[in-house]
Amino acid sequence: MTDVIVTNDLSKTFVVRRKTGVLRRERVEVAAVCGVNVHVAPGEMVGFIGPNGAGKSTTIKMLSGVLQPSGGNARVLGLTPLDDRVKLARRIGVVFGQRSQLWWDLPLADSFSLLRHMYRVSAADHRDTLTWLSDLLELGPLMSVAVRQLSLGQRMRGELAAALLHRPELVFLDEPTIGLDVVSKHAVREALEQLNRDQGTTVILTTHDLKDIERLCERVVIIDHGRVIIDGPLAAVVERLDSTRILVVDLDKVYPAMQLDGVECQRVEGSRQWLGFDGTKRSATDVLGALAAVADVRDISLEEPDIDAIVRRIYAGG
Amino acid sequence: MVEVVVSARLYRRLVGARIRSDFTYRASFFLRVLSAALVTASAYVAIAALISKVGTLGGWGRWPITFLYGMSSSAFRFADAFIGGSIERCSEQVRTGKFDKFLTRPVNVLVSVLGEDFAFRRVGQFIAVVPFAVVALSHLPIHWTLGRVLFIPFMFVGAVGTFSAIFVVSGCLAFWSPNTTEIANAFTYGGATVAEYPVHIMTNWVRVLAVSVVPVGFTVYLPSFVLFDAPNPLGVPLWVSLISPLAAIPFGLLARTVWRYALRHYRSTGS
Repeated sequence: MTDVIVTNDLSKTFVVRRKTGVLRRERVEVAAVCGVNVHVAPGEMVGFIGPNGAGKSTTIKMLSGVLQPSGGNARVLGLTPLDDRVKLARRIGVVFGQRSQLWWDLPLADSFSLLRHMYRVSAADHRDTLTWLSDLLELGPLMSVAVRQLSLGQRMRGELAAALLHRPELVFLDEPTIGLDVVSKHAVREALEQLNRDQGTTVILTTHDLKDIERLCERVVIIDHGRVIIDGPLAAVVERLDSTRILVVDLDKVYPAMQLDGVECQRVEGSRQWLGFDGTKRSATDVLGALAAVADVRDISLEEPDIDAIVRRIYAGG
Repeated sequence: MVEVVVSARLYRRLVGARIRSDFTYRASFFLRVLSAALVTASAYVAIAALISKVGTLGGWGRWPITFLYGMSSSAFRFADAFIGGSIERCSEQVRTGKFDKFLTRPVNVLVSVLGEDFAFRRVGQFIAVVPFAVVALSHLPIHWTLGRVLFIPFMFVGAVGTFSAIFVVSGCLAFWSPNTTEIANAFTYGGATVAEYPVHIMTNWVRVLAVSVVPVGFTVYLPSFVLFDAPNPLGVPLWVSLISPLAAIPFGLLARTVWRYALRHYRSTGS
């Protein structure tokens, strides 16, 4: 099957006029996205992460037909985003977390009905889709409520439904969980997971919440300074960036910090010790074996690397 | 053709949604409409005062001047209600990045902008100025023929078209630079004020502006010579007056080109 998204050196520069004096201004070109090459296969769920201003949103806007690329090109569902804007819009769904596409002063149901006419969905199809979405996102009791009276979490579920009403093949979500409480985040994630699993919808999302990625995305694309710095399965990314594993052991009595070959004792707390080792060089059983030779082990647990910490390091390292 | 019908239906639905939204705050909505209408109509006070002092302006007496005011304001306010108000709100959305949503819908952007941001409140201003045109027409010593009767709606449509083109082009400024509302207003509201006075009383450079950059000379001033039996003091031949409402066509096409060009230069905002 052909790829849903293919980009070739996709770039965007913005011209910014900077004040350099009272009246004098300088024209500066700022590269927001420079040479992004990404391929996305149908049914994939890809998470774009990166610090603020890294170019994630700009990339998504170029792919969804909002912004004209200044260099390179993109094909989305076989179309050129801004040139085939209307054709593409019919087949994709877009949620920009910070922008609403609902009618603020009208009941949620009115927004859905207006969108049905925009996307030219037949009344029967619309009814089916709406029933499905309303169950999935628990919108039933909210239908007659004016959008401005919805809570952020409720509104975001409404936004998600609005973007899915025409059953798009590909969905772009720019920070869909921003500012939501735990329960609402969970609902949004659940819905996206089901959508991808049951409908085979391709999902591209940007987020700052790595739980979104952990929970949803097999593949993560890390963008920084407008470039893709890492693109791969989440597990491999974590492996590549930080292969340190930590074995937490409860020993029979208090020991000084363990001195084992290739193992670094990171913390001692009473009879409990935190032993760090390189997962690519030694296995946990191996370490445990070495430990058993010098002490009696009561209980063990293995700590996975903290993805949050890893990404923090990437962002900081630039 | 099918596309046009579908677009028209969608436009109607969007306008309906806008009116329902506006009616959520009914009392404040009607107060705003009423006060705006009063302010608009009160502009005539200045013109009436001027005429009562000087008698004529460039050879035009009270009723021709009132007609010029009434007719151009009616066309301008009509264009403002259906085009200008939406474009103004759209410029605001371009600045804030909310404009994104129009580009992700499978609908002609202008149809969704004009429908969704329809400024129903400005219809009141249109209604407030129409009587001036009607009363002036009944007082003018026009030798009525069928052609002249039919010319009035032709002239109105042309004037609405030209004013709309000015609205669209000035609104597009927002795609390049923020805070362009005042500049845009200088072209639109400024142009409308110029349209209320006979072009031949103005200095040369204003005359040139009035048929080029801000082509308000074509809206009512030039066409009105078709109704009057006097020759144009600037020596513009009658046939030019006859076809001047058609100026809306090239200016409209120009506006469409500018609009399309502007869409490609939309920069959105970071989120």
